[in-house]
Amino acid sequence: MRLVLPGLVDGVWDLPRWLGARIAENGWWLAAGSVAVGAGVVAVHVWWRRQAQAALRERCAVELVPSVTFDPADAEVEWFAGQVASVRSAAGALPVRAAATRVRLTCTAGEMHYLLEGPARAASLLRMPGFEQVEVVAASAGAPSTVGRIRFEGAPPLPADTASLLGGVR
Amino acid sequence: MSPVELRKTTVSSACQGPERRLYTARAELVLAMPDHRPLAQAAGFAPDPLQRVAAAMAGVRSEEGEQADVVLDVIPVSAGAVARRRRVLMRRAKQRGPQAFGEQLGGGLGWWEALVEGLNGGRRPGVRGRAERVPRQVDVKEGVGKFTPGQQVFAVQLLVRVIATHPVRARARLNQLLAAVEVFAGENRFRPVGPRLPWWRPYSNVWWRRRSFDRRLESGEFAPARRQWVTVPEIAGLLKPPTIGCTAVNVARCGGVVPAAPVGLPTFTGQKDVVPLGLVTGADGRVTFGGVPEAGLLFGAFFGKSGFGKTELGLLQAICRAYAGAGVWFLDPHGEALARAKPYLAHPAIASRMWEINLATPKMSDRVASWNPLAMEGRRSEQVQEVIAAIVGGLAAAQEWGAYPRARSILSNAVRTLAELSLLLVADGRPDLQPTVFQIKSLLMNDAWREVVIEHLPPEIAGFWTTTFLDYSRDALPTVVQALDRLDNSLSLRAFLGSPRSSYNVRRAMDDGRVAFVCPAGSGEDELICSLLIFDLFLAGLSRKDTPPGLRRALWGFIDEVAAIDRAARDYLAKILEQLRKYQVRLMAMTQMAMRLSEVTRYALMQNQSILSSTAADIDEAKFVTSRFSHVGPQTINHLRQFEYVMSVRLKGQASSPFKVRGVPIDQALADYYNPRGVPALEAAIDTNLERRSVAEIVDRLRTLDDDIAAHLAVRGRPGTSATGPVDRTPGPRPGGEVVHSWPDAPHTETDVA
Repeated sequence: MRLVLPGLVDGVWDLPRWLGARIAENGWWLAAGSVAVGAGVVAVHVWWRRQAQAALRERCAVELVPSVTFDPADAEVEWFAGQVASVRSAAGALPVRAAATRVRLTCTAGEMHYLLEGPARAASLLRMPGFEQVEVVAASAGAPSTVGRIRFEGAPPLPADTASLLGGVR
Repeated sequence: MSPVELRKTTVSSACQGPERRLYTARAELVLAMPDHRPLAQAAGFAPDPLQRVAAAMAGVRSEEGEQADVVLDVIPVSAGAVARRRRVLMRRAKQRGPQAFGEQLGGGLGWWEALVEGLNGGRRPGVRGRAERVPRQVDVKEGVGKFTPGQQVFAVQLLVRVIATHPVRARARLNQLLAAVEVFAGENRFRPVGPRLPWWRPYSNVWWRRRSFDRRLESGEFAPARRQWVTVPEIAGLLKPPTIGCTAVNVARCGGVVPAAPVGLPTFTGQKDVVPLGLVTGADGRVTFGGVPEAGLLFGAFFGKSGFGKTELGLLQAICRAYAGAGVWFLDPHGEALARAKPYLAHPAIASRMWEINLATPKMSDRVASWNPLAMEGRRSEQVQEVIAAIVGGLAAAQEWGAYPRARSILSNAVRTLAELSLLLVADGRPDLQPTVFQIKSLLMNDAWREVVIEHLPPEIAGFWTTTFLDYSRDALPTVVQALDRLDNSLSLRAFLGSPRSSYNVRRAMDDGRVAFVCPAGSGEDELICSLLIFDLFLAGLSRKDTPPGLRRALWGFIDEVAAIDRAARDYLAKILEQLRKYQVRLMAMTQMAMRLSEVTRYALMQNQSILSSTAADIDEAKFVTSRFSHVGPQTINHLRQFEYVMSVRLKGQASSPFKVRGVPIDQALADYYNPRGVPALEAAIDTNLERRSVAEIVDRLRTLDDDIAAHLAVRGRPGTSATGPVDRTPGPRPGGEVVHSWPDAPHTETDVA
C-alpha cells in the first residue's frame, strides 16, 4: 500500500524524517506558536468558564403546582418538552454549563414540590404556563414575599431620626 | 469509608437545641448502557412515576434541616448533532452485520476490513463487481436505537441528594430514591456513578466526586459525568408535575388554575387613585403589586376562612386610603386591627386626622372619645328628626322592636323631648348640659325630673307625657328601659356616650377626611353600639345631599366580621350598600361566610360589589362564591393557601375575570412607614383631635347631669318668664354654643353643617 503526499516526500517512511527536519529548522517558532496557541486556548477556556459562573449566579425558579385533577395527554407533555427545549435558545449565548433547565423535585415538611429552574434570561419562558391544569407560582411562594417599595404621594416615609416625633407635627 | 459524609454542616433549630449535625448522601445517575439504548417508555401516567419519589420524600423532617432533592438537568441536543450520532450508529450497525438482541449474528466487518474499506473509498476488498450488502432494516433499527428522526433529544444530568439527621437515615432515603428512579429502567437504566462494590457503595460521596457534585447541585451547572442523551418519551415521567395518577398525598397541589391577572390592572406603588390588592401574576408570568383604580371601586365583599388574611388586606387598604387623604371609617370588632395599624399611621399626613374610638374595658384614668347622639350643638332644629331616627332606628334594630310599636313610640318621644331640650340648653349657652342617651331613662322613670323638663318645652311635646305616655307606660316601658339598662350597665358605653358634648361625628369624618378606627369590642353591648354606629353612618351619608356631588369627599368604610354586625344592624347595611353610592360612601365588608349574612344584606352586597374576593373556604361557601366567577371551580377556592385570594374587580366599567392575589402583610408592604416610636405622639394627637377625657371625669359628670340640668332649668324659669329671656330657636351663632371644638388643625374647625 502506498500513500502519496504531493511535493513533500515520496513515501510514508520519509514522513518522520521530514517532520524532524522541519521541526529542527523552525523549533523556536513552533515552540512560541504552541505556547501562544496554548495560552490562547487556556484564556478562552477560563473566560468561558467565568461566563458560565456569572450566568449561573443569575438563575430563576418557578414552582409548578398541579391541580388535583391534572391528567395531561402525551401531546401536552411533548409540548412542554418543546417549551423546555426553547429555554436554551431564549437564554441567548450561554456556555453549555450554564444553559441547562432544571427539574427539581424537592420537599418541604414532607410535601413534594415540583420546581423548574433555568437561566434568568429565559425567565419569561419558565414562567409561561405549560400545562392547562398546572399553576405557575414563584418558587418562593411560601416564603416572605418581596414587594417593591411603597411611597405614598405627598407623604414620604419619615427620616429615621425624626420618626419618633411624627416629623415635628402634633 | 462510610458511604455517608460524616463531617457535615450543622443547623440551628430553636426547637431542637442550638446545633444539629446533618449528614449528606449523594448519587449522580448515568445511563448504564450506551445511550442509544432506550429507557422504559411508560404508556400514560397511571400510575405516575413520581408517586414513588413522593413516597420516598414523605418522611423528610424539614423542620430539623432534613432535605431530599432529585434534580434533572436537561439541555436540548440539536437535530444536527443527533443526525451525526445517528450516522455513526448506522455505520456501526452496518459494520456489525446481522444481529439479534444486541448480539452479532455471523460475520460482520472487523476493524481491519473497515479500515481498508474506508481507504478504498468504501469498496470492500475481494468483492469487486458484486452488489454491496445492504444491512437489514432490523439491524439498523437495533443499532440506531431511540435516535430516530423527528425526536426531541435532551442531554441530561441526574443528581440525587439527601440530607438527614442520621447517616443511616440519609443512606436509607437515598436508596429509596434510587429505587424510585428504577421505574425508568427498560432496555437501559440509570445507575449511580462512583465506587459501587458490594461492600462499598459511596457513589458520589467519595472525595473526588463530592465537590463537583455539590457545585453542580447548588449552582445549576451542567457537567454530567458522562454524555447521555435521552428522548422525551423516556423522561416524560419527570417532565411534568405529579398527575392525578400520583396517589401520594404528600404532593403540593392546588385546587385548580386561576386565570392570570387582567391586562390593565395597575401596579400599586403608593398612588392616591389606586387601592392595593396584593401580589398578582400577569399573563407574562411577571409578579407585580396589583391594585385597582379607586374610581371604579364602590363596595367590596371579602369572604373566606378565619386567619387567611381578610382583615390584613382590609387594614392595608384602609391605611393606604388614609395616606391618600380620603376619609376612613374602620369598624374593627376585635379591636386588634388598630393596634397593628398604629405604628404605620404615626405620620404627619395622618396624625392630625386620626380618631380612635376604643370601647375595650377602660381604666378610670383612660382617656376616651365622646359621642352624644342627642347633642344638638352645631345642628339646626330641623335636624331633630334625624336624631330621632338615628337613636330609635339603632336601638330598635338591635332590640328587634318590630313587634313593639309602643316601645318605639315612647322612645321616639323621649328622644324628641331630649333633643328639644338639648337645643334649648345650647341656645342658653350651656352645651355642657345637653342630655345624653342616659337621660332617656331619667325622663321615663323620674317623674319629677320629667315635669321639670317638659315645663320648658312646647305644648305639643309636653302633651305626650301628660296624656299618651300614661297609657303606654304600664306594659311598654320595661321594653324601653331594658335597652337603656344595657347601655347603663356598661362602663365603656357610659364613658363613650355619657358626655354632653360630642367629639365623634361621622359626618365630620366624611367631610374632613378623618381616619376613624372604631373598636366596639369589650363594651359588653357590642351589637347595640354597632347598631347605633352603623345607623348613624347611614344617616350621615344620606345627610350629604346638602353637599354638591363634586364636593363630596369619599369615605371608605371597612367593616370586619360583618356577619356579626349584620345581626345588629338589620337592614341598614343593605341600605348603605343600596343608597350611599351617590354620597361617596364606599364600603368594604369582610366576613367568613356570605351564607351567614342576612338575605337582604347578602343580596345588596352581591348586587353592588365592585370587588369580590375569597380566600380559602369550605366547599359550600366556595360554591356560592364561584358561581360568580367564571373559569374557577369550588375546589380551587377550597385549596387556596393562607393569604391567597381569588378576586374579581371592576376595571373600566366591567367585572374582570377572576385572578389570584397573594396577600402582602402590612409589615412588608409598608415597612418604610413603620414608626413605633411615633405612636405616643399619635396618641397625643388623637387626644387633641377628639378632645378625649378621662373615664372618671365623664362618669362623674354624668352622675350629676340630671341634677345640673334640673338646676339650670329651675334657674332659667318657665318659658317667657325667665330672666334669660325667651328661647331663641333661630339657627346661627349662639353664646357659648356656636362652635363646638377647636381642633389643632385649622382647616377642620367645626361649623354648622350647612
